[in-house]
Amino acid sequence: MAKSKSKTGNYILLPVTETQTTADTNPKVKNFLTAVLEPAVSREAVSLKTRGPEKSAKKIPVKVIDSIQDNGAKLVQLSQEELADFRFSYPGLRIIKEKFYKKAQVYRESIQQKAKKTKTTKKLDLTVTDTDGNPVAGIYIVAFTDFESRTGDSGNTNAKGKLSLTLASKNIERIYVYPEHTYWGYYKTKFSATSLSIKLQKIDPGYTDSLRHFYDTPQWPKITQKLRVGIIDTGVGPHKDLVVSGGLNCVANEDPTDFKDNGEGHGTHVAGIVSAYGGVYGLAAGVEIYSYRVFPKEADASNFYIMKALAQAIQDECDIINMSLGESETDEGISSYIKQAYNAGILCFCANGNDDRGTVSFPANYSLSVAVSAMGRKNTFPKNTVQTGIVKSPYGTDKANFIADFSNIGAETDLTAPGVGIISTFPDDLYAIMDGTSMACPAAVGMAARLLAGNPEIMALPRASARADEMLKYLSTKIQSLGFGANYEGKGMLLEDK
Amino acid sequence: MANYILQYKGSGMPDPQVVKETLHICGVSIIDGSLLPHAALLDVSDGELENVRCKFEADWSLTPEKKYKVPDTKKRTKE
Repeated sequence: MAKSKSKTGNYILLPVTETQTTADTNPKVKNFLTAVLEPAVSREAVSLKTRGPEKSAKKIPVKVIDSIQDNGAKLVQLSQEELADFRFSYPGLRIIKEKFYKKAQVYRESIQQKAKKTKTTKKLDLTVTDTDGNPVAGIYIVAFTDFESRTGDSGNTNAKGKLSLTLASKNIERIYVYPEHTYWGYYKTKFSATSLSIKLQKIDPGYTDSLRHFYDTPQWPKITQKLRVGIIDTGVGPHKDLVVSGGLNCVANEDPTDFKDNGEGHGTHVAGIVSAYGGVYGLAAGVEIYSYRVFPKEADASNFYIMKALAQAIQDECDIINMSLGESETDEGISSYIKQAYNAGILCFCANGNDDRGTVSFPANYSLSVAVSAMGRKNTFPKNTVQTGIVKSPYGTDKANFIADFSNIGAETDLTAPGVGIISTFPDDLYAIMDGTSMACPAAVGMAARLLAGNPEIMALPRASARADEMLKYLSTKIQSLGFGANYEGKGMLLEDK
Repeated sequence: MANYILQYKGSGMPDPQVVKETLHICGVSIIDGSLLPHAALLDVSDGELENVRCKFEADWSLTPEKKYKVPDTKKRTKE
């Protein structure tokens, strides 16, 4: 291969729609894969001419490392600097950077291996109680001696509220305490100890969290117009503050009529942000909630279940769909149903993802989704709670506002909404604090529903893409920038007219 | 054996009976046929995969089932 000064990379070349060329593939692409690249596999680099005026034409050296089929994927090596030239000169191909995957390891095993390697001997004995001194069981705690490398130990408290962690040192860089419900969490940094007693503060449902700072939901009237919101999640309820009007359990081999929460509480928390009324107040109390359960208990959701949920939400004539879920890789099946929803006049709001300022997840990054990042506000959570560790720049025009440290960001972001220290419903009439773009997404959905309920002309439009277009256009007039910058907040936050 | 999603990419409505018969001929079992005739969740062995692709041709896609986790923001240790 001709020597190049710039770095080379390996890329996978694929036809646009399939893994192999088909009858619909551009004949030039087919010829390029089968007649130009295929014969060059494992040989010296081929020299490919760039497109453009003859004078400026140059040659791109490309080494074909491997091929899956004659008319299928090719693994090639070329200069990163020449990648753009290649892309414009040889269109009709998907160009995917070669990635390497680690062997999946069970979390507990990896911690044990780490413990052996570092010969950890220090113990940190923890006791967790409520403010009355009663032990609190089942609380997940993680302590780091080196946060950067994520070195530490974790576990759950026992019936006596006790947990012993094995660490490399007694110098703790950070400790996070995550109750599932009922209590605020706990966070402490840079201390040295072999034992620690932690008192958890109970949630007051009337506390002004970041959501209620921006939206005075306890004072808002119930929505009386008919508007239906679909929640694709772990299921919803039961909870005294929530009414679930319909739905479907989309998980294979489970009762289709059981669309209450699978016990993890995520979907119930999301639904409460939209429509709770009683102990806590959501943004759009009065709208119909439809629950589409796609998560089996303590297991992952199949993309097929999500497709099924979208199909059912379309059939049920939802107006807005909340998808507080995501993964890094795109999925054509889910995209096609989001497109179908849009063409049926339904908007899909999706969480940006929680990968510590990573790129916007799928399906939020799909062009027809409304992608929502998470922001927070200082002094809307008690001191020493987990939320104090989430504060990170950029700060807004109002310096108390910040984009959550966990929130994914990027050009696909459409909106931001409160997603730090949010109080909402948890199954069996409990309340919980949760953080995430999962919480910001229903905050945006709830506000969108409230605003759209005030515009019956748009909601009465025939169920087609023009309806979704008009819904978006109307909502865009209700968005205000908080000064974070488009990469972090998109156009800004949905707010009431002042 | 692995789960795959068969999805119709063409226009119009595919014939559900033809879809089911074709799957039967391929010896593939349907795990969830609630979205038929547009999509189905299938149990496909490595040996059957190419056969299913060939039988359904260009208007159909056959992609592996993917999994989505319940999102959270808990910090975790790692290797």
